[in-house]
Amino acid sequence: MSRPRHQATVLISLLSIFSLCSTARAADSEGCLNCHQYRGLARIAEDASTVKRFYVDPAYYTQGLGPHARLKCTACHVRAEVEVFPHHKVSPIDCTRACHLTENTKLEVRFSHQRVGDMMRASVHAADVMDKSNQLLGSPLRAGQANCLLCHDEPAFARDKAAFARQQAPIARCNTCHDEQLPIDTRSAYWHVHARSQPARTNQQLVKVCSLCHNNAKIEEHYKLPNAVASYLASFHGKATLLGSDQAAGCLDCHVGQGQNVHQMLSQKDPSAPTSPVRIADTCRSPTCHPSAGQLISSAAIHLNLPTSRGVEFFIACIFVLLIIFTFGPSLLLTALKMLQIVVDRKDESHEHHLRLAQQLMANPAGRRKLTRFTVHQRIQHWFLVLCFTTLVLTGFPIKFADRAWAAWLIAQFGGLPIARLLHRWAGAFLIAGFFYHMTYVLWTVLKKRKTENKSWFKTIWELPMLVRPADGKEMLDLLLYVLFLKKKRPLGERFNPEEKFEYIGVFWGTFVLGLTGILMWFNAWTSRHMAGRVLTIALLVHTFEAFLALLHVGIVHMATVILSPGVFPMSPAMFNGKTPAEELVEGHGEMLLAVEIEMQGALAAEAQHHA
Amino acid sequence: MPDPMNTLRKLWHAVFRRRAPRPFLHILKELLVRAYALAVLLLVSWAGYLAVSYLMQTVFLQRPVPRRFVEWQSRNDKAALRSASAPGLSTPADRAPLQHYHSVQPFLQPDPRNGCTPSGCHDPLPHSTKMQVPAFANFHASFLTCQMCHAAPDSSSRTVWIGINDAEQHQPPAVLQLLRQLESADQIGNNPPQANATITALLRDVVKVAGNDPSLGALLLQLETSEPLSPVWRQAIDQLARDLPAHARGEYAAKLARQTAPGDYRRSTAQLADIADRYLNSSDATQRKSLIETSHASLLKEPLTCLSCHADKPPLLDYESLGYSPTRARLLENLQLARLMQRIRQGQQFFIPTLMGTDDAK
Repeated sequence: MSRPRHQATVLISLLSIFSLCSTARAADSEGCLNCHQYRGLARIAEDASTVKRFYVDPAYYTQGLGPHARLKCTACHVRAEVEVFPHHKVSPIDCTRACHLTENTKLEVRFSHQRVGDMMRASVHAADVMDKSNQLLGSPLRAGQANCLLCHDEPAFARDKAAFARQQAPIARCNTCHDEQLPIDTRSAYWHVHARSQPARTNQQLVKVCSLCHNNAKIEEHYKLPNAVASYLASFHGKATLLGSDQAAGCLDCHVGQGQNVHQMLSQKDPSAPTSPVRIADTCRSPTCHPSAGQLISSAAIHLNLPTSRGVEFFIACIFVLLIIFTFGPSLLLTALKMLQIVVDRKDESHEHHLRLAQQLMANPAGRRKLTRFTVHQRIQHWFLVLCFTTLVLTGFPIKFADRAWAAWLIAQFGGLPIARLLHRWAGAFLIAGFFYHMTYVLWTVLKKRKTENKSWFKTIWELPMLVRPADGKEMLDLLLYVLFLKKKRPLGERFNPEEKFEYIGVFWGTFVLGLTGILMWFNAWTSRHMAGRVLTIALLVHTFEAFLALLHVGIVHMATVILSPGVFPMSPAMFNGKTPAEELVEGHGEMLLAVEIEMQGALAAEAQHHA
Repeated sequence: MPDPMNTLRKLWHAVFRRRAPRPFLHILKELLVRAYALAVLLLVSWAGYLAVSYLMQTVFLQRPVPRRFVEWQSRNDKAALRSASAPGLSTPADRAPLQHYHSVQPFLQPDPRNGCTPSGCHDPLPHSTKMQVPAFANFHASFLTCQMCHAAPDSSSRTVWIGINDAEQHQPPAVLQLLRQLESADQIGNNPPQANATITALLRDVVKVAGNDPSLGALLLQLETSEPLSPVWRQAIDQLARDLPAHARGEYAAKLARQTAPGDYRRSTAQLADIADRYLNSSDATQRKSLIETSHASLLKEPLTCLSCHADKPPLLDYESLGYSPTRARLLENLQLARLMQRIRQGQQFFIPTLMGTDDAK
């Protein structure tokens, strides 16, 4: 037999023998897994409605997947009950019972969770509170079962078994020294430390644990508590959690004091609680959260329940509701009624004439040039705005709608929340920069016009084509009466009709409001040093409502006008080549059409003569 | 103030006004445009309604906590046994039901072609609490068809592995073949590349049956990418030999069944399902009784005992021919635990602390 073959034979023989020994021998010295390792070991309970599962994952013990892997079964279960076959009915487990841990030295060390029990007794989650909560929940735990089970199940170093498969290399490194010279159970030791170097549960898992009681109406009523989970998930921290981020503060980040553990959680009313009014600022300013924030950050509302709050936040929200209804509402109505005109095939009596005129003018190169409504420069500015706006919507709205499945998906496409937020901020910064650029462009246009036409400042500005004038209000009213079938004649519309002018004003207002509130939140540490933390809460509210208003206008009204409307579908080319389709010119820019006709009268007559 | 009736009249006239005859295509195009405009009108109105209602809810109603955060189980519900996607039953769960402390791994192998349980007549955990050791009998149900214990063995039939999804005869489960392969050192030593190819092919199947178990998947990757007999390969084989037995505990995606000719089992279960269907839909007591008798005609009054397979000489099953490794076959043929269970079935109790620690039932 060749040497490699011989080696292989010996190796495999040894491995085979090893594989056939009980791998759980070390942890399961009582041999319980001989039977309990079978998944199918289960039966219907005597109550005929529940299933009793006796399966215990052998990997938990053989691979040391959790801190309890070093315990014998009888450390928790009463030996007298389980050493009899068939087993007696097992008593509920007392988690504070003293047990013996098998150390690496093979010595057994006495251990107990009694200390945790003592901590709990002094905490807001004392045994009587937990018992009462169990009762209010409808007694999901059986009589005598430890109320630890309300929050805990079998503790594991990592729920994801793939994580164990990935962590072979560091364990192998530990074995360099700790294999023979300084023998320890490297796998167990590694995982013990590794698992505790990070939170045992993700923020989402924590929310799920806490929501058991803190989203329960009976418990809230009994203890006079607000729905902390719902209000948390409505906050920025909660939304980040919903989007899968563990960087934002979870429940324990605020409610567990520094150097303490979850079992020592105190009521907000307790002055030593990290959430008490006297300590909350320090909790927010902890080194891992907002270390450079000011003392005033504490007044920012994390658990704001907008519908029940009657403070300034609710007042501002109501103002925005009215603002949205009275700005978006008429625009939506106008858009819908304009569509209705097409459905019923209603056209102004001058429509056919104007359409022929538009086609005639557009057939002429000079006429086409004169009918160009947007210069190249303006189109570039518009596309810049489109790019910034789209980026802001795609990166911002998943945060607003964080509880929807698509939001997490969309954020994942950007590479996670931190990248999405970075993109959002920079898109916002570019939008503000674009706004200032546009203002400079307008000023430059005014200066140029004033110089060439020699008019006063006031008159030059007054004649700016996008400026809203009193006549626009009348034209808007006429249009509304026309689409409501109350007027026969449709208003003609200038180069920029009143709807476009109002949208333009909306961009000014939106950029200002969104920019200001966005900057306040971006530089939240600065804000909290100079203003009340409540400003941040208000800024977030205003930012989201204004963004929603902008999205409604652009996403519904503007899109319906420039993309979906039958006259321009699949898209108006005006922002590509500056040419407005004839149908759109007739419907919304008749005055411009007539003005160009007058200008071009001589040329058109000559052309007609030439054709004749 | 405009007259509303006059307005309505105008609207009617605008919609249905008379026109001069026009070409068909022109009319069709116009109709399409109008239909499209109507669609846009509805879309815009619907989007507007959604937006305003969302806005109102945001300000005046507290948004409920998403369902995934509030769905928790207090106990292992029997009703969930028939659910296709119950967490902790057929899919992994975030945590165990509150009353339950230990593992939340899926524990019940689905058995869609079995004639007795999917029909609804018997529970997926069919062995009643009234009998002794029902849990032991239930775990045997994960790799034995009901007839193996409840029907008399027939000399003309043969015990074979039947796939749980197609009810057709299959080779022994990959995990058993792989255990056997790892036990036969010579085969590996004689031709390591060939043996590695066999091991990886079998392991691929095992990973699939084990629900893409990540630790087995990692081992598969190591074996596929390393040279046979290299240190990495040996380490992976070592780990595989240690981990694999835990995956040979009954969830093979196959069950043992007796059949005389290929397709017997599939036919008999289909027949059984049909009878069950007729039974459940019949209100005639005589017909129901007759159907019960037909479907249970081949059943033994007293099922076979543990000893038939684990103590009798020769045992009812030829383990080696069913794919078990020789070592495991020897253990299964003479299982002390089976004798113990048999005594328990007879109503005896035992206090044998030394049993805790034997190598039985690996």
